[in-house]
Amino acid sequence: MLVIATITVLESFAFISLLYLFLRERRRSGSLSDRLKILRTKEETFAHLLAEAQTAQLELGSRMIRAQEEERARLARELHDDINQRLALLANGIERLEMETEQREEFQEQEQLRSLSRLTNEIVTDIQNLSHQLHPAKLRFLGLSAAVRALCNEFSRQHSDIKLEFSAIDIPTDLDEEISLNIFRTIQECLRNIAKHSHAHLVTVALNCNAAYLTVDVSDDGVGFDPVHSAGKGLGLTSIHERLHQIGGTVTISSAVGAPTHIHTGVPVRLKSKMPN
Amino acid sequence: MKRIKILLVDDNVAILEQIRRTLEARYEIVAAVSDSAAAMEKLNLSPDVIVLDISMGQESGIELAKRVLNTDPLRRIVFLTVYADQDFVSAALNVGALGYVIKPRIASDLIPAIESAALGNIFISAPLTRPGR
Repeated sequence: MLVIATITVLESFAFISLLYLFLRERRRSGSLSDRLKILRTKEETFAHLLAEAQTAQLELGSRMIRAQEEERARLARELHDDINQRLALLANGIERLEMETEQREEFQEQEQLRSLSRLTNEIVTDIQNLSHQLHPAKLRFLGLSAAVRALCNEFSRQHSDIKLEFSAIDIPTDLDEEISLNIFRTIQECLRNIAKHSHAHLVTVALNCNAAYLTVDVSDDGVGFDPVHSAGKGLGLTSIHERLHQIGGTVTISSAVGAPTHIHTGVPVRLKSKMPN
Repeated sequence: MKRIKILLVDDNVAILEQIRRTLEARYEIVAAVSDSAAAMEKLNLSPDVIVLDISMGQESGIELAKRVLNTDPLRRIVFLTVYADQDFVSAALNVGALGYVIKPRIASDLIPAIESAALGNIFISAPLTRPGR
């Protein structure tokens, strides 16, 4: 009888223990799934914050680029509209004196004035080049296509070992100036990278435009790079992203170490506002 | 003999004055203005030749030349600019201008350029050569 009672007590104890363990596990697993939920929510919040921070960083970068470009444009205007115009007046004064000395047959003075005139014209050209480097006048007055063509010609002159093929189809001459400038700078950055790092033999620069969209493709057959791990390593990729963000465009960089590189950008077209007739 | 009538357009007042001094003994200066809106207004004075800068405030001289030649393709335009660059020369000739003079050579080149334009001929400042059209 005692034995039976003892067994019953033990069985009850075992049952209660199992029940306790079962309930504890259930409670634990319940709190685990709650924790997972909390973690997931936190993860989503962090992802959201990260995306916001990345957008803010792009915005800030774009604003800095815009401020820098405005300052460069101001300096270029100052050099061209003020200093170079005054130098042109000076050159004219010298040229007039030179013509007068020629009429009076004062040949020694004429020769001195001629060399002063040459020097002044050289300074005018140097300032024009400096102004162009700061902010390309061709972009404003001749349009994106002519400015990029001139940039490609300049690249070919400086790198005779690299063949560059340029094409431009249906590019409006009255593109919005912010779009033109940022596309021009992006191509400039791509060509700078190609010259410095690619060891390419063939480069193509292609501009295409339809009514709504402008695309730019820059390709080279060089040694390539790892686009994922190259950001912030002096290739100017960050600034390309910031520039494209500024004008509502996108950029896709396809490359790998030992493979050709292709950079594709697309931008919605916006035109300059027209002067009334 | 009828004097050639000239319209001057340049947003730099000092340059405008220099051009006027260079030309007034020989030609009739119908107006000297600093922007494209004023230039369009003065077209009713029937200038024979328009001397035009490229770099001006809101609208460039090239854009203005297009508008002028759209209203009357027989207008004669001579660009007067600091840009000593073949691409600019090509653009100027492509819009229909007959002259391209660089500002440091006003004294020697502007009058020959105006005379050429009045006769319907092309003149380009040395050292720029005439590019292929």
